[in-house]
Amino acid sequence: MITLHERNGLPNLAPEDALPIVDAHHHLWDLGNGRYPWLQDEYHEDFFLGDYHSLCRDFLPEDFLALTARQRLVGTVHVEAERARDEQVAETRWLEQVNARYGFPNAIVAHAWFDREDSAEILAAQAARPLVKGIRSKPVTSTSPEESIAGAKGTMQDPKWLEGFARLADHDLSWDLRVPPWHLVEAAEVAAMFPQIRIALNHTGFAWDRSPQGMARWRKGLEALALQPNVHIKLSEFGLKDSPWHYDDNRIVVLTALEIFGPERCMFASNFPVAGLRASYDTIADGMAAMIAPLGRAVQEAVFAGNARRFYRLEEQHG
Amino acid sequence: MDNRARFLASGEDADLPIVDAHQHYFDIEHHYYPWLNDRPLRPFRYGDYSSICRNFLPQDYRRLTGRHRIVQTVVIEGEWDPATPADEVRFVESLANDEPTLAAMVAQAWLDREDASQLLRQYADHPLVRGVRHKPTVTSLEAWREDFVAPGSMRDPRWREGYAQLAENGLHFELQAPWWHLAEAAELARDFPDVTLVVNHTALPADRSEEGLAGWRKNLALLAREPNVALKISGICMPGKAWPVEANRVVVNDAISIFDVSRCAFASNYPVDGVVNGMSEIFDGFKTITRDRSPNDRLALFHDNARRIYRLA
Repeated sequence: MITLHERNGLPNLAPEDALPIVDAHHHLWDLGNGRYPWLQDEYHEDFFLGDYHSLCRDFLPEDFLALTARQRLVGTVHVEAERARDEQVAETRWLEQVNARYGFPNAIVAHAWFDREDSAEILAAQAARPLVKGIRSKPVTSTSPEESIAGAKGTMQDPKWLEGFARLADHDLSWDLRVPPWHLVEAAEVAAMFPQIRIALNHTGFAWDRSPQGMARWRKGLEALALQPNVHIKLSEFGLKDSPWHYDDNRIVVLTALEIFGPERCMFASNFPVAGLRASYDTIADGMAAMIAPLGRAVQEAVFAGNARRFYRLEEQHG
Repeated sequence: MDNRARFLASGEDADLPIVDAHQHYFDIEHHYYPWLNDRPLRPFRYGDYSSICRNFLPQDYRRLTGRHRIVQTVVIEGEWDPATPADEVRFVESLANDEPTLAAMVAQAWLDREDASQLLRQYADHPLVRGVRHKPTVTSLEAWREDFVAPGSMRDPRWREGYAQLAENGLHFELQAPWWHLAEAAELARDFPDVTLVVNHTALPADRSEEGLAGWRKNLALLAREPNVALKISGICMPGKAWPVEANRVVVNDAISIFDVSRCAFASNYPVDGVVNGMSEIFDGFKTITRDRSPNDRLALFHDNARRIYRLA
């Protein structure tokens, strides 16, 4: 299978036996060609990884290819990068141009709100684009596990939000679920209400709190979600606000996710460039390959490529 | 006349020399064993085990042997405080100084812990220690699947890094895991051919239904294909019942036919199996079940194999 680097006339530096990778979650942005408030004029002081000033510049396909030169990338899934919400479909159109020129991303998880006046219209517009396979839309969440805002406007219990969410099924789109770990059990309730909507939990459910209590709460959330067969999980973004990327700690997160979901529902993802705040692409990809090596090559290939290819239907283009 | 010769001459059950391949010593008054000292007690396959939450020392063992001729024993780590695993070795060594039957020990290890290398190197300097046990992470039969993995499981690469250091330290591995995890054990045995893997407690055939035993047999056979594996036949009491000779006859004979007489060893698992049955009763049971086997086969199962596996002098 031709790699993205070969497709772009770049030397292939991956070792002979490198795993083929479909990166199930990364971002691209061209700050001269779109507005990304969080990277431009609305810097988030409370970003989950802390200081991210180094991300506040273009991250173009060439940059992605340069950082992944030692990997055997055969496909990617672009997840909406919080482009200005009046440019939601424009982001999709830009990514289509990128795909036409560079051969990736090969699937798009676009943005649409579920609870706005124009939700149905935006969702239909996104769904009409052949590369769009899913939607990421962050529900309103609380700022800490102690605070509950269940039922408030825009939360996963808001009837209007749920009504918009239900429209994913009309378009056969999946949902990329990104919430803090204390909302995972609520998310499982949504998954149970809509068994026909396939859901991809982002960033391993954010195991931010590595204390025994924090890990127990995270585990409980994962277990609740895994009971729903329509939920998959992306193994990505183990970055912590105040610590460096640590193989051993992250191995526990990865193996716990695999224990709970089973390898057939786990997808490797880089979350680049964001995860690059803590580790190189090679550290993350090679590290995870080592973490699951004892499961054998077939499982590695499923986690690194096959599962994402299937979940995001990389071979199909609807429209 | 030595023990083997005497038995071969008389053929009497009472003369059959026994190496008890799996027992424990506890001193809970002076040392900390979380599962014995802490309350509430944990869930356990034999149910309420409060009766063994007390000291069990060589004089206690001796009182229970009855008419059985137990010539040597192998002490397996007793879930001592995981913070100080090497201290259990020193404790058991101190018992061995006064107890000539205490012939070998299997120490506690934590293969995925940062101090694993250091601990294993330390054990290499204690001649009593022949191997280590680290109960890997396992799951229930209901939750199990073929591609099972979890932190601390046999497929955890960090755990395997620790396992990879056993051979260089002259240690073997004792596996306590239920039978549905034996495919993982077979992978380990294949990937580390220099390490002997000794399965504890007959791989725990707790479910004696036809289906349960079929699964147990199938997995045992899968593991038995690997040459560097042995099986201890013990831990097959049934809670609330006298040691069930007839039910266990099937288990023991199947285990022996799958692993062969040359790779099985009987053991008391005392005092833990004492939650359910008497030690004499357990060895009586093994003797009854093997009565029709040749004297040499019985010596292998009760004595010779354990001496070989544990390199006893």
